[in-house]
Amino acid sequence: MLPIYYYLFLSSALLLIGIIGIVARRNIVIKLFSIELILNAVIINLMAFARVFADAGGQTFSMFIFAIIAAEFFVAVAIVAAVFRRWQNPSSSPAERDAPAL
Amino acid sequence: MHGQITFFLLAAIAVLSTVMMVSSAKTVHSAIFLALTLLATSGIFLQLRAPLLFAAQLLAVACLLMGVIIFAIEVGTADVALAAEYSWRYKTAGILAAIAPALVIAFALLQRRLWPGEKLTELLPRAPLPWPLSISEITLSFYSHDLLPMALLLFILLIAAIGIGAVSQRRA
Repeated sequence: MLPIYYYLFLSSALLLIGIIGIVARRNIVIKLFSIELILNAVIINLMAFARVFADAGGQTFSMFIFAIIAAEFFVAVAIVAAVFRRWQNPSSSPAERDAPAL
Repeated sequence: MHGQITFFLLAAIAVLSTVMMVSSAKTVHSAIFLALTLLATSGIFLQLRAPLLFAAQLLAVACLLMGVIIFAIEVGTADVALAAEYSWRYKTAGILAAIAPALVIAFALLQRRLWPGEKLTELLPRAPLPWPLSISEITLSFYSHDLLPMALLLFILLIAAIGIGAVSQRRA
């Protein structure tokens, strides 16, 4: 197995880019994708430590996170679709939402 | 050596596509880059000898693409207002979905008083498992040691499904 810090560097890179996506972008769909990315980074961390300690807990917990990701993603997509139908604009900023339609 | 090269390749794909995802102007491009990131991380899961997670990640990618397509169709035909009120079926389903996890939590909290001798929600001792884990061992773990979290999770998914139906309900 590769050293664990390889996986830690990768997951922290994904985490940081995900945080940048949440903070910097105004499009709520991309914010949602960034959240998915952060959760994916968490799963990589869990799996790397589960592999190091040969523990089943990491893998089972990762499956739970996967289910949460799926639920969160589809509810969020439905909400975004509703927002889009109402304002014709997926921005999280009220000023941009009230702007003319795309 | 081969493992190292594979890891660096997959990690580079994951990081680059993530950067592209965040910096893309169009949402559809972002979704495609996110799918690429998820595919690269699924390769890393396979490298960590987690075949179940690999399969789940592939399913997640498929679901993501399907969600994006549905979203595109939804947005493409956006000629109706947000639903003002929901039908009684959605209200009933929502109330039932709220009551069900409340009952599970109440059961978990009260079971010691109702049945003092029984240990229905005690976690079973976790036996050491060989690595790599087989899918049957993980499934066994779901239905023995992790049964209560699994039940709660299924309720969360049920609520999510009802939420999707409620939020995306159309009014012609």
